[in-house]
Amino acid sequence: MNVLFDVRALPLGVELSADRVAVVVPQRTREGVVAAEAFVETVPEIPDDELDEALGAILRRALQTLRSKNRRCILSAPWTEALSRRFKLPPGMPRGEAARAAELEADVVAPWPSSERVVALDPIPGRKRELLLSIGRAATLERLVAIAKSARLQPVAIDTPACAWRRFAPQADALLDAGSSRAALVVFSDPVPSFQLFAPRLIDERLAAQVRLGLIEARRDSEADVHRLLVFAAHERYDALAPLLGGEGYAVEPVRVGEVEAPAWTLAFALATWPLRAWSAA
Amino acid sequence: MIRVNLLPASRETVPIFGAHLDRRLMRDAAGGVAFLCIVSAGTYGVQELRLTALRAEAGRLERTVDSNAARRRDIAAGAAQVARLEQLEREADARRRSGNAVAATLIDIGNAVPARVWLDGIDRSTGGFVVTGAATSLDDVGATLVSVERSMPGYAPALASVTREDKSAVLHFSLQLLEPGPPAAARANGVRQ
Repeated sequence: MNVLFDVRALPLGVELSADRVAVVVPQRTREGVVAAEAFVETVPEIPDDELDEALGAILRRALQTLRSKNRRCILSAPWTEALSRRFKLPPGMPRGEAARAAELEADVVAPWPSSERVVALDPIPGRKRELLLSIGRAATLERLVAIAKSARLQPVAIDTPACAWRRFAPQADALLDAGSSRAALVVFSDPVPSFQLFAPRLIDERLAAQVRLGLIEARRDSEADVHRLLVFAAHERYDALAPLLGGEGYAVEPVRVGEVEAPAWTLAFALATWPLRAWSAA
Repeated sequence: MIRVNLLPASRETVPIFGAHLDRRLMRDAAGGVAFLCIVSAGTYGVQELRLTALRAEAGRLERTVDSNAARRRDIAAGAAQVARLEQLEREADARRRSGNAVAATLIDIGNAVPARVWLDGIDRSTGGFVVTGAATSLDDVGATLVSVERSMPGYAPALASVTREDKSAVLHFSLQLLEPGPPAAARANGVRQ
């Protein structure tokens, strides 16, 4: 039956950052998508010029550890190196002309010149007259691809963390990613999620205060009226942040993948759902 | 589900005869050619199947035509026999009707003769009739000619001769009646004063 229906395995989800490398092998089941295998390794403190080599070495080690022979993968652009906007398509405009109009829009919103950026137009489900305009820094994206290829991976897409978290938590109103040294708040505004990146290594009280402020601003700007807030953080940090955020009336919950609470490979798992039109985490 | 793909476009090239061609372009072109080949092969196969079926149907019809050749010959012979019998019937009918027509003509001639004129004889000649009779005056002879012409349309009556015997009051005349549509030569020879 697998020969007939399971036409191609889902690609690996790969998170590459200066903090950690995470690889998830997803698997379709009757209940949904599960992480069949996962690999996480913290990147040691090393000079920047040695980082790419170190990431490649960790990736190769990860692929030797994992049993999966699948080498297709989904990567994630760093928070600061990509942005997304809603792009309204004028009636009757063909796709080719829309791509040129998106380039003009990118000139306005992107901080990188046209020769140093990658522009992508992706459909927004349920919206025929709108597209998702994404702009990434070409050098960074090519560097990620080169690291992946050095480990004999075959990248099929580079997603943004905000979209990956949106797919992972479709029922939540916002998500606080405090799993790295630099926390990010993703507000799931409709249809394009927006994010706010905080200063590195903020203490919990300061981080909670800025998150509350960000959520108030989101409600003020009519982006989203947040009630349910997911927090992705290590267990100890979640225990510290939850009371600080829950006191404001938000329903604060930890991120869960199945029965596991906030595994370090959650973002990699979210990236692995990129090919799915709809999914549910088992 | 919302998603983004910021994967930079591949710039891999393939060296062919010294030229470096874009791998994706080559792949797309090869895919297009393969698609066209598949469509062409499919169309060719369908047409070949149709042609084979039509050839089989044509062969079957030809065999049917061949098997019916003897029957067609019988039908043709029957049709020829029917045509010959119809011709015989027409000829017999014409012969049967011909006597009636002569009798009717004789009656018409008799009825057309005025009271003061009597007939001596009616002879059937080539292309018509020769009527001989007698009258007491030349006016009666003329009235006879006019009466015959009126009562027998299509005939062309002509006075052939009028004679009187010595010291007799009786005029003997002869009329030539040409049948409708006789040959021109007969008409030309029929009337002589």
